[in-house]
Amino acid sequence: MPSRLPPQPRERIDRSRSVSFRFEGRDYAGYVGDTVSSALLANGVDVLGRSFKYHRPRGVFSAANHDANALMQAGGELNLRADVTELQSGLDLAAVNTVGGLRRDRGRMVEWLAPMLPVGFYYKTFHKPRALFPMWERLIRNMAGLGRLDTADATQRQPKEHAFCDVLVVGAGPSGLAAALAAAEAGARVTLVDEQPTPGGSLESEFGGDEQAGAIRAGLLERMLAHPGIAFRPGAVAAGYYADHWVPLVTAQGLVKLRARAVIVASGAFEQPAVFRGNDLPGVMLASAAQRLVHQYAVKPCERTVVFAANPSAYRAALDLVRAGVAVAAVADLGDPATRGAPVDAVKALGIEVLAHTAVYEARARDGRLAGVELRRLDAADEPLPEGARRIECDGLLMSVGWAPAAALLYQAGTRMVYAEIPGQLVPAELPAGVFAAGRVNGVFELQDRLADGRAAAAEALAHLGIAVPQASRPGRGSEAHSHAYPIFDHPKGRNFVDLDEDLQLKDLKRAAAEGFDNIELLKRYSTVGMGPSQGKHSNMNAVRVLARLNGRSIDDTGTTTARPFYHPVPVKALAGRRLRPERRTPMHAWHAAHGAEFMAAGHWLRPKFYGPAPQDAAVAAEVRAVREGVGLIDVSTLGKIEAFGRDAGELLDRAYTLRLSNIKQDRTRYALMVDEAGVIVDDGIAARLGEEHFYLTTTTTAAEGVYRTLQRLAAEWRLQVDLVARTGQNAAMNIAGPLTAEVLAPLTDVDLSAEAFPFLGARRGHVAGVPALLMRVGFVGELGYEIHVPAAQASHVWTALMEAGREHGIRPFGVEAQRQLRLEKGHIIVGQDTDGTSTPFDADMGWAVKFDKPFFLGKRSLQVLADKARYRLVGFALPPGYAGPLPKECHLVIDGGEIAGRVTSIGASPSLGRVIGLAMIERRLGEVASLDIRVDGGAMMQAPVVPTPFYDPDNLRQKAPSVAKEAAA
Amino acid sequence: MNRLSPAHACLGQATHSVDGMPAVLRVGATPPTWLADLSPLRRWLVRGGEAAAWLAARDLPIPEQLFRAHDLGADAFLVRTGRAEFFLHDGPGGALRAKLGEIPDGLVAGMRIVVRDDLEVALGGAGADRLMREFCALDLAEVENQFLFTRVAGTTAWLRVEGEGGRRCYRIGCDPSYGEYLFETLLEGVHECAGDITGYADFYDSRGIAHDAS
Repeated sequence: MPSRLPPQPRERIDRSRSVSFRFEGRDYAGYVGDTVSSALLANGVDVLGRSFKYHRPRGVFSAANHDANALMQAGGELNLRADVTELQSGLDLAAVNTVGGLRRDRGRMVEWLAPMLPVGFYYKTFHKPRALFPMWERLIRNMAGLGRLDTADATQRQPKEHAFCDVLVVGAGPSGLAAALAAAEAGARVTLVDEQPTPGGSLESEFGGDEQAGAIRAGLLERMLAHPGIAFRPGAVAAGYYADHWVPLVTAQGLVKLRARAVIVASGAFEQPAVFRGNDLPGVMLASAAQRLVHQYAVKPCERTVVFAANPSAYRAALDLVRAGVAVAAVADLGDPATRGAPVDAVKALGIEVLAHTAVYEARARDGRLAGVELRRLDAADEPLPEGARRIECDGLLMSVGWAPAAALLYQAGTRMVYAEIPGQLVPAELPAGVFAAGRVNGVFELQDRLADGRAAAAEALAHLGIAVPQASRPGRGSEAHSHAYPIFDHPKGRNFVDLDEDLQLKDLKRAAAEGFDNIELLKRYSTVGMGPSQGKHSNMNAVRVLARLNGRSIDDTGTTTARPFYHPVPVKALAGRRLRPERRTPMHAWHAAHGAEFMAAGHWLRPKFYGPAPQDAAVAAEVRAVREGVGLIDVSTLGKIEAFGRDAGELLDRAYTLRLSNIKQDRTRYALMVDEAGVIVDDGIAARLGEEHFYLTTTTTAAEGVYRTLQRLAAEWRLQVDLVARTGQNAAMNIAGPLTAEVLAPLTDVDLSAEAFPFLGARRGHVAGVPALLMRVGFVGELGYEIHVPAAQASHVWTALMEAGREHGIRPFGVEAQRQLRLEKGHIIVGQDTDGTSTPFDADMGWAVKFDKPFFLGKRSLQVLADKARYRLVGFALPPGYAGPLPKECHLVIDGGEIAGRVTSIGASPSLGRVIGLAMIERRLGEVASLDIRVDGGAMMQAPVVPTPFYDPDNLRQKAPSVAKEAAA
Repeated sequence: MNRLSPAHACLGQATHSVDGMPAVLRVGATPPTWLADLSPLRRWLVRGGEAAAWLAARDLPIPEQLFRAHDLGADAFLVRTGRAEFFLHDGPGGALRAKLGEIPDGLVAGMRIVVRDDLEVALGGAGADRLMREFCALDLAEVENQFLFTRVAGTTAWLRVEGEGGRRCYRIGCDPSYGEYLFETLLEGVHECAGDITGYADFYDSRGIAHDAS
């Protein structure tokens, strides 16, 4: 490993454990603790990827989790960030954005086309001629994208976890450590998170060569790791802020949903690049990146470097590089080095040339890598002067010209940030309750000040929690800027990148602004600045500076883009979590599955659609015939079930439903229709009176919870003395129907099923198969039928007993599809299918179910207004037997004079009638029509004759007088 | 034996009977993380203006505080869940039923007694805390002996957190229609923790509570 340094005090690597891996088809070795980037650099590999648009070679830039041009793929793992992905034995890596490999990337030809691909070109081109658009789309889709997703790969999911604490401290640098310790020592339950695998933050690298900082670091880490009140989570990115201090932590193991009572954001600052020609070449990197490589991974980033400076950090970096054996050719300072403090003298003492008011004007390349720089002195307006330009050969250029606060969480929490000339960055001006900032994100740079700032933030957080501690005053933000106001230099040949993720050059932003996109949000959308994988961490601030200057406005007036969660890319597997999709199953679910049921979802429930193995049409027809000619059994456990009891139970039902229900006789049932305040049908079911003050209600499957909540709310609002009990899941229900029903049921029950003892619409309590049961004789499918409600735990026993008893009578289970068909034959509507979100009872020809003579019911006033204004009506239609033309489907439109005049709501082939029948909701203006013109698939028209409903047994004799059906069946 | 646990389909060889319900009684060594189906136990919701008087007449305590589990011995407990609503939970020996006699499902003197055929499980062992941190959004770290209505794995559930030899045991109950889903989901997590189902009798034997499992 040619670039590996001797052991460094802070190094993370374990030199006793070697790791073998492959990159772009070649074998390499690194150490446990290396990142992919550090290991490759140690092996002399400095080109790690290709840029997104122009396929320019790129290397290490931030080494801080933001190197968007060093994304790699390892098998099914896409977009691994080489700068933070820990090396593992056997990794087989490839750069994601190449055509034919990193070294011979054919995609680099795109750069030759750059003049034809200006900013926003995709908004202006490709749409003409229209016929070529698919070709362009294919081409661009093939060229774009980061990595190749193999859809055959297994779905990956990571379990999520909930966590809680009193104080969440984001960032385990000096401010965060000081804050965490102060909070924990006062008794708070603290969670400290850092995206790095080890605590220390800048103490690990930027202050890596500072002995005094080393002693501070050791003390802080020892106390923090030993404190029982601090839960430290390394490798955890606090990737967003949501209401009430809810912060998702992205970890290697998955997403942690952390709820804190207070949050201290000590997330530091992102070092910012300068913008000059060639600032993207491999070898050009942030000074902090070079320091990380040296201190944490013992990697020498280059042999000979120039340092581009605008703050004291640059000089500390220069000293670190010298200690690592790198020749520092010069320090080019954008300002006056005399203001940078003690490190400048140390640099000068090493004989390193320090150039004041000097910029790197251009970085020059050889074989796609940095080979040297051109320095130019700045005039009074900070513009580079061509005179006296100077070239220096180097393979490294370290930029330390400024910082941007890592303030995404603060923004998302609602913090107002303002630009401060000192320290030259945005700082919090107004923080929301319970959110505090400390350290560099707060504009505090000096080490001792950062410690004090952390302690002060902790004191404020503790006060917010009601824990009494002496309040500490905040330190100031110093007296000098740590960021240059405009480290951006134009060049006639361009290639001065503002956004390395998206290959955006300075001229692109200028052109976008000139085209009118001169608002920061518009500029972002038009140019895509800040929209790449690093989410603008190294581009947004410079883009704001550029736009501010172009518009002649201040940074504050220019504003910043919205920082939305997640501010850092999150693997989909972490977002997905475990598949938690609550599913309701009836007690007979296993029986259904064992007997060939095809299931369908009905809300959260799974219901048998039909019973195989026959195909659906044949199975449904057989099930319908069984009910019409013999006996069938359907699981209706999914129906909503509610008990209402108390003095005002009847009153509640009268007010909540359209029909009068309070006068139902004991042990009788009645149809129950519910509308909302607007008069729109929302549910229907059955109400049974079980006692003077006791009713049992059923609802449709999907409306059960809604109806229960509505009844509860109404009972409370009207102060009625009524209790409601939801029984939907606790009671199972089944409906046995058909002319032979009594033969099956009678031997199993102690209830007298004779027509005299148990008339149509009666309700009886007794036992079925020895289990306490409520039986209701209802016209569910137009045959003799009983709905049997039993406790859920015993329902399977009852079902099995009925199936056993029915075997000699040819009993069949039937599913939802047969039920629909049976109901359609009877013309019974299905709420939500034959009605929609606007249908009133009058639209559905159910005016008979509305009793205006009641003093009040929910929706009455609306229905009174709408009674003579109904726009629709429900009509039946039937196709001739043997019809072979195109069949309408549900939701096909009824057309009148070229205009839409209705829609088909239900349709099916009736086994009982031998023809296709259906219902349609049509506009009343059509009047009495003999047939409907229906537009079917493909736009063809067909005619469907209108017929009266019910289609089957119009006098309802079969359900009311079982002997009729029985004779017919015989 | 005409009762079935909501988790019956997940239990495998549930060949024994507990109060008329097939159950897994014993599995041998207790897995490191375990899930026990306790659905055979009996539960009731007593609701209505006369509920407190009805309980008092049967020498049962009337808790003032909501959602505190009042231990009645042998794993039976009583919780006040509303102004006029109480949750009664019998233990494995049926002590509560013995005390109260047959408890009908229906209207009784101005109140409604609802038999609850809930799925009930006990989740415990080394991985239980981690699993509950995943499945429940509540901070359970300092919850003890409370009876909570919450969501577990996205399902409305009741939850009682019990201490158990330095580790916690979570008693979770839910509407039977969600029972199979919840049991499957919890068991998936238990398997990930190298755990498995433990028996009804195993659970009570380990706690020294007499039971009527045959």
